[in-house]
Amino acid sequence: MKTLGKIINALIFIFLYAPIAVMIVFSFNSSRSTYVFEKFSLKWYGEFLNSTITITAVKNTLLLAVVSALIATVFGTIASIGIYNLKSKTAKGAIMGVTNIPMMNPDVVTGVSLMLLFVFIGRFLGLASSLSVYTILIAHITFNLPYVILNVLPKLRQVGNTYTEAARDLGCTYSKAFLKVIFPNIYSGILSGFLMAFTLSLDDFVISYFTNGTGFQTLPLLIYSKTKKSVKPDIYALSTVIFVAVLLLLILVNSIKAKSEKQQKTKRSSKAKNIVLTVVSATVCIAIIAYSAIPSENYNEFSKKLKCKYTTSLAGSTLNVFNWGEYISDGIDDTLNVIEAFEDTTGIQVNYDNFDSNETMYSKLKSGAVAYDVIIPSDYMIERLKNEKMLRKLDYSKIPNYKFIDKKYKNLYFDEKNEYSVPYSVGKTGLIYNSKMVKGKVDSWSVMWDEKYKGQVLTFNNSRDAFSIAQFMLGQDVNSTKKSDWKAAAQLLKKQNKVLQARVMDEVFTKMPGNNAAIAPYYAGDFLTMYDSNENLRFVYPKEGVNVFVDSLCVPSNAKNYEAAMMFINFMLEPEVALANAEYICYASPNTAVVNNDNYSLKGNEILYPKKKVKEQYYHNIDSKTRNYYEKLWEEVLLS
Amino acid sequence: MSNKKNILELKNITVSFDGEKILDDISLSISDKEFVTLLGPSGCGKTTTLRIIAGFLEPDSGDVFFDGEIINSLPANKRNVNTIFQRYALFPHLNVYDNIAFGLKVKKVPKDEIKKRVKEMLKLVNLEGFEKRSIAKLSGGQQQRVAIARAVINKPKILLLDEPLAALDLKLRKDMQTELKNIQKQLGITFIFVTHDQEEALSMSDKVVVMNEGKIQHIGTPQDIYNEPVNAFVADFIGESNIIDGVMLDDFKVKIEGVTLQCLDKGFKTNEAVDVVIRPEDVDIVHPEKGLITGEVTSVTFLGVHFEIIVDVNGFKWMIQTTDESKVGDKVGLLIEPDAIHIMKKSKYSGLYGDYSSFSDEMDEISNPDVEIVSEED
Ligand SMILES: Nc1ncnc2c1ncn2[C@@H]1O[C@H](COP(=O)(O)OP(=O)(O)OP(=O)(O)O)[C@@H](O)[C@H]1O
Ligand SMILES: [Mg+2]
Repeated sequence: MKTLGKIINALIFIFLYAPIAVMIVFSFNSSRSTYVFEKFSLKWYGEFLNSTITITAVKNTLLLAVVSALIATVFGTIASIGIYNLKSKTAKGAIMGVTNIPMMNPDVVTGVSLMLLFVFIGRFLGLASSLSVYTILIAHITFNLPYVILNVLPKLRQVGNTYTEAARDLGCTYSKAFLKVIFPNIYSGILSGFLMAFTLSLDDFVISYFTNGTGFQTLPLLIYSKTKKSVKPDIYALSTVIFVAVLLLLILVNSIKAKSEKQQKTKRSSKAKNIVLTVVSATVCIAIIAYSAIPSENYNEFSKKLKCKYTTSLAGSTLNVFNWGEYISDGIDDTLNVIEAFEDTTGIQVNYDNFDSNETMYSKLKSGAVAYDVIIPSDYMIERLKNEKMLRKLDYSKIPNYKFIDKKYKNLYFDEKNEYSVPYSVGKTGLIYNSKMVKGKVDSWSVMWDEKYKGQVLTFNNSRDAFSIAQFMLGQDVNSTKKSDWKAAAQLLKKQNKVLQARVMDEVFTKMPGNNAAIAPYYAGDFLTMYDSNENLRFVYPKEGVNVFVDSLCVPSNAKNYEAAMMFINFMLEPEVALANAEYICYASPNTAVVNNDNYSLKGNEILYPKKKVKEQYYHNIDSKTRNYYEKLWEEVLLS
Repeated sequence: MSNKKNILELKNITVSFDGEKILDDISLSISDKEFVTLLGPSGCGKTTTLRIIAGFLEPDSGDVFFDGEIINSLPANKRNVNTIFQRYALFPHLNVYDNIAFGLKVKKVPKDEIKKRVKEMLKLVNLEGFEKRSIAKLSGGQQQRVAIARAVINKPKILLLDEPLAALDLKLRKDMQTELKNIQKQLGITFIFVTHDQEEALSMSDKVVVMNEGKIQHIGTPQDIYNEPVNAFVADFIGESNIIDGVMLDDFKVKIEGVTLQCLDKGFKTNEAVDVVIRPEDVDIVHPEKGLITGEVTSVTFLGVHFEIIVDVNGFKWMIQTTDESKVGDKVGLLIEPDAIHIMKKSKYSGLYGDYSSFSDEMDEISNPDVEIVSEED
């Protein structure tokens, strides 16, 4: 029995810490690979320390956590005293119930309801954007409060009324009695309430997501938004730093506790010391990370290379940009930090936020809770936004660099008259396969149904992309509104189930390079990343056709800084800037100044810029009836 | 001692919690330097009375006088009264010295004087050298002393003590009783002492206040309440009592168990039904022919100084404490002197106390009715 206990203990320990250990090991890996440790390197630590976006997010997260936890601790403690001293038992029960509900509530409910409240109040007050850094702060205080009460109230109960009475008996007023005898005895509850609130705030994603305004991105929000591209090891490095910091903090707190217990609380000052030490250590943590000097670059050389003149007439104003995660060159690896360069050139302050899908971006805009000046949606979403009058026409006279956009990418279906959008980045789906595992010539999606590769085929884990492959096979229009078309495609997908290994999105970045699967559809640009770590991988555009998408710069109709938005869009088209972005994102660029630039490392790349014409189709915005229909079919496919 | 000036007076105090009357019309006068004990069973309202005096609770109606002035709503911190709490309530985050010095520090007494007075206190309660000790590392008796020192260092006019000895073992309790008594004499202040131990109350107090169900039952000296309890509750609560239904035939003549006895009480109506109290140690066991009342011994317990004998008289069981041994089954006579008899008016407690049918070793047999019946019929 004893040995069994030991074994189980060991297993629990392993399960708890093995993932962290793996993460720490790979944060020191010199390559992006998550399965081969190539060489020890501190590169990823350098990267995250050099990324203004990440550092800003860390700063924001810590600031938010400390401030919200402090406020929640003060209010929570006062509230606990109030609840404890309530005479009526029923009132006490009722209030405890009410304060406990937010803890039981799923975060989504709390988040959405808070957002609705903020938007309602914002509309009521006539604010252009009702969500801001204050709303996320209020939200964090709100969900932290019950946890503080949960920690403080039992301490109060344990201490009871007698100490207060004893102190008053000896001449103290109520408030003096609290300070002199109650506080020192419930202090540990207050501290653990604070720490709990701090950690909860630190890693909250859901509630932050719903209540966050523009320009205040926290770390969880940043990490979740990075799903367009795979998560890079700089996040492992960052997580390692956080883990070590939290570990140190815990050790510190425990050693203080142990010490004060050893001294048997002989001196009141040891309590005071506790408080001071904790607050100081927390503050020091923030200070170190926040002010770990971010070497601010000098953009003098760079500004000479700009094609247009940029005035500083808008200096001091702010510009809110909403983009995909990891979709702009951010200064890592000596690349250009585009946002900083823009700020330096124009004096405009940029608030930069990320989203992870067109749909989340849409709902955020639609809620009216935030006002962005520049967004970067995909084609079909632009069509939808345009139809719903959520976009504002661009003033192309202020975007002279528009001339660099390839004719191929003008007058596209979603913006036939070139009024609303400026193409930013272009991608195509295609078929990736491992040449060591797949024999013969591959030029058709049909290989994904080949029983030879049973258990080695991956496909998209999203309905639209998965359906499109079957639709290409059947020679359909991917935007068909005919039920029979979708039904036939679903039939075909069901037949595929028996050869499939899994439906994946991001996991493809580990499965394909790791030789864990032979065939997978994915985006051309991402193939290049995978090829870096496994040279046996191959890419083809299947003859039946592929999906092509264009992500474009647009301005929402409620933008507040239209002039700055024009400036920003023009800046993004600057050959130097567009080049940096194209190198960073690894997708095809619609900018001729990039494509023809001899310094462009991907110039003429066969995969991004194929010579042979590829048969391709755009997704259009699909009416909700058809969407509901195919989503139902998709569920059937998943269940069959 | 009732001629001394009253330092504290409670007049018609009533307190209710959740609609339930906890103190019901309490009136009480306490003189300076008096040792008063509140005695009563658990939940009778002793602590509540102290809380009224200390200022933690305002009465719903009635007045509290201190030195002749109404202090109903004077907050606790402004009263010249200190309390030793039921569980001491020493501050765990402070050491012995800081606990004792607490009251003086709050009053901003100069450091040197605090030092001097704490030293005196430590000497008074025999804890010299314990200054730096943490509270958690003290024994129950030592904590008790710290609590006393912490309270009396403030030189209160009245010290309230809420069952201060309840948590101590018997030996320590006896020692502390004498010590408390000495401290009171040395300091010359009023003690209001709460206990539910009647022996403690009798041995320590100048005046005992017997309470039950939120009402004062009897106020008197220890001798008064022992010898002349006002009702069956007090008689039973203070020591052991046989309480028998009787009829007052005339002054100095009471009839119990069909026998007329001489007594020292008078002033009742003729043929008034009364409760008759006879203490177990006041009954002599004699030969059946010589006794006024006869009965049969149903149980004998040896207690060292004496035997405790239960005698069944026509179904009512008497307890008798005597040094003469009897055997179970013996027919015996009971002899009662006139001064051993105390007559009380009937009260709502009549018939509830003073019968030893379910006493001592027979307790074990109560759960088994058969045995009970057998011993009855024997
Ligand atoms: N704050 C309160 N709220 C409600 N009821 C109370 C409160 N304080 C005391 N009581 C009730 O009042 C009654 C008397 O309580 P009190 O503490 O005065 O009894 P006590 O005589 O000191 O008993 P013990 O010997 O057990 O300490 C009890 O029934 C108790 O439940
Ligand atoms: Mg009590």
